[in-house]
Amino acid sequence: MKIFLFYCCFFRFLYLFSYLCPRKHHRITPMKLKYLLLCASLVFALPGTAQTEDIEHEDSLQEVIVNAHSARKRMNEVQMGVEKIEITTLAKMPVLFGEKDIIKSLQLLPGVKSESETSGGYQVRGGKATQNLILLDGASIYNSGHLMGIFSAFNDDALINATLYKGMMPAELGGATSSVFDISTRPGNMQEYHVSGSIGLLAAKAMAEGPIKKDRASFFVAARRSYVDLLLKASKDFKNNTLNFYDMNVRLDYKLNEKHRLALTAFHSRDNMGLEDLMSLKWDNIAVGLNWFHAASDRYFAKTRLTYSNYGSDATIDMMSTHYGMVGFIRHLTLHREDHLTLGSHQMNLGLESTLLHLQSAEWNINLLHQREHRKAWTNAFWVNDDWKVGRLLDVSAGVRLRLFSVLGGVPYYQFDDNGNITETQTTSNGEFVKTYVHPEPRLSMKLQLGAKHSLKLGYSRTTQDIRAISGNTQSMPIDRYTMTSNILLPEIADQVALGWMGMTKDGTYDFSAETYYKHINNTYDYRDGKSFYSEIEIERLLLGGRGRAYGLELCARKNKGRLTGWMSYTLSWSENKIPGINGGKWYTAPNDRRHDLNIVSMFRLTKHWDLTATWRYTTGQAMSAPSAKYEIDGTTYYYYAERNGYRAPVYHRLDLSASHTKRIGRRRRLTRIWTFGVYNVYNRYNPFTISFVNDMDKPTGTKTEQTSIYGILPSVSFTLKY
Amino acid sequence: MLMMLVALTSCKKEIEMDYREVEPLVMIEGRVTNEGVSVLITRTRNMDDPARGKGLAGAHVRIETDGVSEQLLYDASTGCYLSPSGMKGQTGKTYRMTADFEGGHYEASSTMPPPANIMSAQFRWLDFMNDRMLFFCFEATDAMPDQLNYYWCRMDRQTTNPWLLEHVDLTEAYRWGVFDNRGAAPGLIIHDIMCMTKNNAEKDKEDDRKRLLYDGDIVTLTLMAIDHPTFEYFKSLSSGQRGGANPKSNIEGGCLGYFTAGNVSRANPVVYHPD
Repeated sequence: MKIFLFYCCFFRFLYLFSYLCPRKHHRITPMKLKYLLLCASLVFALPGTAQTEDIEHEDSLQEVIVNAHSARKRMNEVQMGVEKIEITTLAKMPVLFGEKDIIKSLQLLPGVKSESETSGGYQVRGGKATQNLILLDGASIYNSGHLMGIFSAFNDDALINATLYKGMMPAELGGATSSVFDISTRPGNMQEYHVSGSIGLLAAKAMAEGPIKKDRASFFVAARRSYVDLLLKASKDFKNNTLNFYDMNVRLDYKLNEKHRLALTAFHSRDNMGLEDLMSLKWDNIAVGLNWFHAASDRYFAKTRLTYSNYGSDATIDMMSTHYGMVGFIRHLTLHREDHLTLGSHQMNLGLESTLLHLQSAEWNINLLHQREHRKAWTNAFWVNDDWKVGRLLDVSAGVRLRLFSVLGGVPYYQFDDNGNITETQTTSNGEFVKTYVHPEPRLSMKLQLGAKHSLKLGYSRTTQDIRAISGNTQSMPIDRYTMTSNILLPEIADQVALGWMGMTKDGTYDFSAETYYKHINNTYDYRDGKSFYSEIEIERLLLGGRGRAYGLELCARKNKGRLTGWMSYTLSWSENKIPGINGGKWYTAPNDRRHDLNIVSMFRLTKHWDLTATWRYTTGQAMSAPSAKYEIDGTTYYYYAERNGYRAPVYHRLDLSASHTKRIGRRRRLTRIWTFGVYNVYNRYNPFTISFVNDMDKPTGTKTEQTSIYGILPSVSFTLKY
Repeated sequence: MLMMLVALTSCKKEIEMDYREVEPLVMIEGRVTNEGVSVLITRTRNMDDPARGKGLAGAHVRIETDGVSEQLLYDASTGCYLSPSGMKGQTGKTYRMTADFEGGHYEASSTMPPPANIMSAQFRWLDFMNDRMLFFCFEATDAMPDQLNYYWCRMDRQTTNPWLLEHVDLTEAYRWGVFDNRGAAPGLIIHDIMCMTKNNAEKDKEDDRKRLLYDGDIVTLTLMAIDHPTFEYFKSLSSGQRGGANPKSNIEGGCLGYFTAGNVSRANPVVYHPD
């Protein structure tokens, strides 16, 4: 069955590929061109300048977005490794428990993988989830999952667009070695009021938007809250437990005049989990931003942004004689300024970003012991980027980002021996520059147009990362400790080269792309063997640094028009690490290494009211460590691991279906009612979540290998009402 | 209902794994304690080998302290190398072990910390989500409260349960672990070992039986004060089994295992009764 499906998909891909054979030259009529340009300019302006007055109602807004992400738009994109997420498409995806999830949808794109079935983390081009940066309206968001990552913290109602940069990114972005996911909150409508409400199996959400002063100022508010805890209250066994999450997005837009606009954005998400008074786990993100958009002329505009973000986590255990508490946070205060200038065939972007960082890797109470480790830093970046149209066929985007990271004093810094023991403590005064790192980050993307229907792309990018989560598990957790570049820990530096091709059929109904990449990362850190997040308060004592490399090929075929739309993406990839002290200091397969990933997404407009969506995901086995021998210590059998991650878990595949029924109701038909039905894991396959090795005297070998699966078939339903 | 649905649809099943074989490695488990000296030498076995490892003869094993060295002799009944003079470890002394076996030379040293005398050990129940959880709790002295001290503990049980006698290897520890005295009250360490829930005990599922205690089971506790390298070894042994890493041995020469000079104390046996 699996092989049959794979070959069906493969031959379908070849069939679609055949559309690319050159036929007669395709012409774009002036009318089409005008429409395309209009769409493109609107989408470009929306996140920044909030020109919602141009859009009469929500349906037309959605239409604009879909068209702007057309095959032509993708082909004309000079920047490599960019995935623009269509929020309208996201709304149609089958989802777990009926909650639409932008992060889960992201994982269906080429080069993007899920960390695990229960995780909100994603891995891009062989990187770890902790090497991604998520920006919401320019503010950094960490651990962006609700319920330990089952859902993302981003309410799809509140988003207008989102772009994933897979390591290749323009000079104004930085701070992550794997990817930057840039998300924008939706501005409120300056013409009309709209409200909507939605009820799902786990959570309810509501949205309201409208003018504060027509054509001048608008508001947008969206909120979501789970009600699992209300159900728990009704249960005798679980009534004293806590399990809830909520998130809220607010945006206020104000148009000073035709050239100046202001936008104030705010986001708050929080999770509360607790087992009676014995254990609790809470984490939250707060982000506030003030944006000023200034368009002086057709040739010049600027964006200035002041943002503050605070991610916090709090875990406690109070059981018998154990009283344990750990609190961590990351706070950013950032001023960002970018200027865009058009000079002939050059589009220049130059700017600066200055951030004050305050990071507490942990403050803990272990019975009578109280310890705290926190650090401060000041980071600055200056960049210049030029999008240059060199003649009719060649486009070049070249830039450099100069990054300065200054470790600030006021807390002790250390020197360590090879075993992580402190050999020297350095006392520093408040505000003292302990160490400054300066790194130029060159960026280059080139696009060569090969006729009207094909383009060839080449890119190189260097990125650095200073803040990282150190995870002792294969997936991100709220209890992960974060650390940043210090006098000991060096900035993580990634160099990536990529080569790509894109082609489309003459009317843009189909498009195809292939990208291959090679990435090398320096100064990637992991826990020493036997160490975990609570082993020592000085986190640098727990870590070992090394190198990583990843390479692969990404293929994607899309159908963009007609009743049936969708895409098929395939990723072939390798990911390896080399860390002294692990695997004898030799290169070893990274735990996130997976050779083949295939995703098929199809959306079918059955009738005017019914939309059907199906997604099928197939991945070959995740790298895992399995023993090669066994021995006894103190009478108990243990396993000997000859190599790190040298084995493969069983394959994973899953089919999800969704059907939504949309109908306008009411006297003036101003209400829209949407029923969404979904089935997760339709054929109830037990996919591997964990694999463990257990001593079992009843087995002839004395050892049993057990696979644990999390989700079987799960139906869902949600109801939405919009005005 | 939703959680029930997830619980109902999740599952655990046995799968086949094609293990790759490797050349057998030497494993040494050496202990000098206040109760005596023993060194066990075995080899690793293939994953499909059901037999437990047996102590191997033919090694030349010595223990040295304060310039005095003694050769250990192989005892066929235990499979271990033992001190012919009945040597016992003493607090504060550093012991050095050397072992020559089949062309390999292995050596390690360890310093014996002061003892942690067990003051009390008992079962206690904790109310937990409409259920009760059983803990085995003990208190012991912390001889050097002004510094970081490390401990290894092990729970064994004697049972008359016929199913356990037939299906479980009772030479394995019922529970074991390592911990340190961070945050402990001065001079006192308190430690709780989680055993089972009352619901699980009443359900008595076959998969859980290895972790369940039965009425009349006799539990013994061994507590050993250990040095930091031994703590690191056991800590990494415990965590590495889940993460695919081998523990960091304190023995030089390229073998598995550890050598420790530990100070052992034992609690009086405790009989488990459900009520």
